[in-house]
Amino acid sequence: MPIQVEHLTHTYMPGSPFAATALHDVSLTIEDGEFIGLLGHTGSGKTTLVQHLNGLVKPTSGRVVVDGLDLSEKGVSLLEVRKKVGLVFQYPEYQLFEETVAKDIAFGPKNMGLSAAETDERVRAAMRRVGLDYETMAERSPFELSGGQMRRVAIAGVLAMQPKVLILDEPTAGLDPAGRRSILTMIRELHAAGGLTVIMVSHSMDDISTLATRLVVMSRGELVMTGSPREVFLRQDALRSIGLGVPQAAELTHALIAEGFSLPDDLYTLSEVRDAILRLAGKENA
Amino acid sequence: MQTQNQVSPMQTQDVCYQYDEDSRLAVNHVSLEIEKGSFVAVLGHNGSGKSTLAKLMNALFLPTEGRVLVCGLDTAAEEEVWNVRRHAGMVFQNPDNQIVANVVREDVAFGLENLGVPQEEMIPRIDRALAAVRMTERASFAPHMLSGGQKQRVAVAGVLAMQPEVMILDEATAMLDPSGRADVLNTVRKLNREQGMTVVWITHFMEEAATADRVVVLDKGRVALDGTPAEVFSHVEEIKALGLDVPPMADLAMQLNARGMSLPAGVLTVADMVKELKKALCPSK
Amino acid sequence: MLRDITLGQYMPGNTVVHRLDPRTKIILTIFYIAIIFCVASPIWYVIPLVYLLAVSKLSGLTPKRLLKSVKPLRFLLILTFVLNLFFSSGTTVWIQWGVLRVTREGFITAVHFSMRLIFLVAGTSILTLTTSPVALSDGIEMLLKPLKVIHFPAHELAMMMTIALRFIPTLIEEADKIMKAQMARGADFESGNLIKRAKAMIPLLVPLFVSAFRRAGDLAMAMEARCYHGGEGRTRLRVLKYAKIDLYALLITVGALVVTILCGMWIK
Repeated sequence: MPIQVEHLTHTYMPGSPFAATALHDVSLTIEDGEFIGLLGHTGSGKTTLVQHLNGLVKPTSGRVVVDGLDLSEKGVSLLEVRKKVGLVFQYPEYQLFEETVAKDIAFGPKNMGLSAAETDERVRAAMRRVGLDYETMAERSPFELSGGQMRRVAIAGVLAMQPKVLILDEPTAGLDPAGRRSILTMIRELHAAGGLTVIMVSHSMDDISTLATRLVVMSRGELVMTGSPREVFLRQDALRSIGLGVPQAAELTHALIAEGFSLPDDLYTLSEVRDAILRLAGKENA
Repeated sequence: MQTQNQVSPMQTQDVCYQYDEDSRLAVNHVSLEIEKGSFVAVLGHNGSGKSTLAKLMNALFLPTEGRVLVCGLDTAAEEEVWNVRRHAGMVFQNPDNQIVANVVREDVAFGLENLGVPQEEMIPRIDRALAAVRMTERASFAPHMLSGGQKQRVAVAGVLAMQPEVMILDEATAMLDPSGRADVLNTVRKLNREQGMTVVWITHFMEEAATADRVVVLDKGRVALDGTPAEVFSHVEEIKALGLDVPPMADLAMQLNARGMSLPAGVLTVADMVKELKKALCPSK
Repeated sequence: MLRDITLGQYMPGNTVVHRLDPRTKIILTIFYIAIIFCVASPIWYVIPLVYLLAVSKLSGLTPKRLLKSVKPLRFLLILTFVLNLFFSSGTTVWIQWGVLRVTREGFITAVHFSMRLIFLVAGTSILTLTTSPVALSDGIEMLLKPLKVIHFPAHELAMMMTIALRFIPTLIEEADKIMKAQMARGADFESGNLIKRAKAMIPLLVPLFVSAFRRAGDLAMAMEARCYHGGEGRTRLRVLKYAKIDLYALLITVGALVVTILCGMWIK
């Protein structure tokens, strides 16, 4: 179920003195099973772009086609779109409202008109996928959980709609390193289990570099780069010019090359760089 | 007898804090003396007690055991509470929830108004504080028109105008994007360097702690590690076990050393690493 | 989008009227209301009319803009007119239609009361159109300050107004975000009958309240950390000062009031 974004332009409050172009002529195709890392500075248009993908925001011009369904066409059921494309907002725990975890997760399936039995099954499945124990957690109030657990409940609430595409807007924002690692591991496992296309908006190069199969880089409402992490991190200067960094491993690689060491120029993970340095030191078998 | 200058702006003496009778100690016998003019990072995961410690530092919480001294004033002394809070300024995590007024410059005035500073004295102090955080041009903006980083800079200015002896930033960057984080950190670092402001910088981002004069790592309410960044971050395994990150270059150095290289301790940045590798790989250079 | 809503109806400007002390403007508004109520017969609305036209000229607000603030009340206005037209007692019958009859006196009363409403709303809107909410809350605080002797919480009231004004945009933005997040989970805020729609608001309102309480707690702590301890011993950055112009404005308005009363005595 590919997503096609064609010449998408979005202007907030067109015609008013506050008019601001959030997206300008963005075209992008996302294939089934990809893990897209969506990068960009605050205000680069990332959030506006992902909100188009499930019809929360309408294009000013251009179109978004999800699984053959043109979202800007009249009469398109937005509920259908939202069943296909799940969107987890930044700080999603702030949207929890029900008395119990299970009821909150059931909100989406209920809106889809599913039977009680099916809803219950989906709640259990979703909780399993985000690593929450149904027996001990289902009847607890979401408001008495830790921040990391609340976030899992919120993600489960979207997964319970069983979307084919899962969009996460900065899923690790505000978490401490341990919380961040555990959410990232969970996302990695969700994707690895198959059948899910993941689009993750992130500020962290280090987070995204180990997860994404492809990076999409936005700047000032335009799509400026797309490619594998290896290809994108090669272009350090271009990334810096739009206010983004690269993983430190890639930075080190370039710095060492500049000092005259001979290394492949496209290394970006710590272990790759480690092995390359060990080869230089003649200690590769150590 | 010590003179005022030698008194530490912030001292905790065997401090404990317990939220409820039957809960564990959120802060567990912590003794720290913050040196005047230093930039001290307090690092810890959520629930390590770092925010509780922050609130003990300006009398928002009072210790259940031990003492907290702000410029020599005991925070438990009821009559000194406003003096304590004036000397120990505090910036909080959520940029939206600490700005009181509708206009930037009026928010900076808020603390001064509370202290009863006369209006004619207020104006230059506000102007200086706004200039120090580079917000002069936005002095008449409404807070909701600012970015997260800018809001935090306003919060810093609001504290700065009160002319505190020590500034405590309780995860002031946790909700910001990377550029906002760098922006706030640089602003406060500059205050530390140029005005000699003593800073207690509470965070869970190791890269922010890496530039501090001193790093204190908290775990379960206790001080787990305390030293210079180079010393603290050489304990790679220990820090990871505490649920924290180590600088990637410190991690890399450890991995290289485990595989037969011998890089010295204290490699924290890419520049450090390049320097050490040059020495290690081509000794002639 | 929700966040496009502007706050109140303040129209920034730098006219004489804008520069008046907010306390003066509040007092003038009270006098103006007194003028309206002292108008004894429709003919004498010419006094507040001249007054309003002058203020409109001075403040840069067109009469059309002033009338716009009456628009939301048009149904009340029609109701006032119709009720007074048909149900006032009078002797000079113009039209008789079953039990309903229109008398000359009834017509005059209907015009009188409708005019009163129009002038009341159009005139008082000048206060909110030319005074920022911040200045307004300052003015109210200063005017109510003498009531402190009877323990009236003037400072607290003004502080509450300030904080409310500060957080309205934040909460609107937040509501917008939560609404979108629930819509992404299939929530429907737009269709169904009244009860269904009211129920659909729960997923929006609960998180919004939770967040408002959290913010309130955070803010209280932040205020305490900055030494807030009520109005006692507090100084202000913004100090209100009366100028000569305030005196002139007051004299003119009081003059208009006196003229209105005298005219009412002269021609009923």
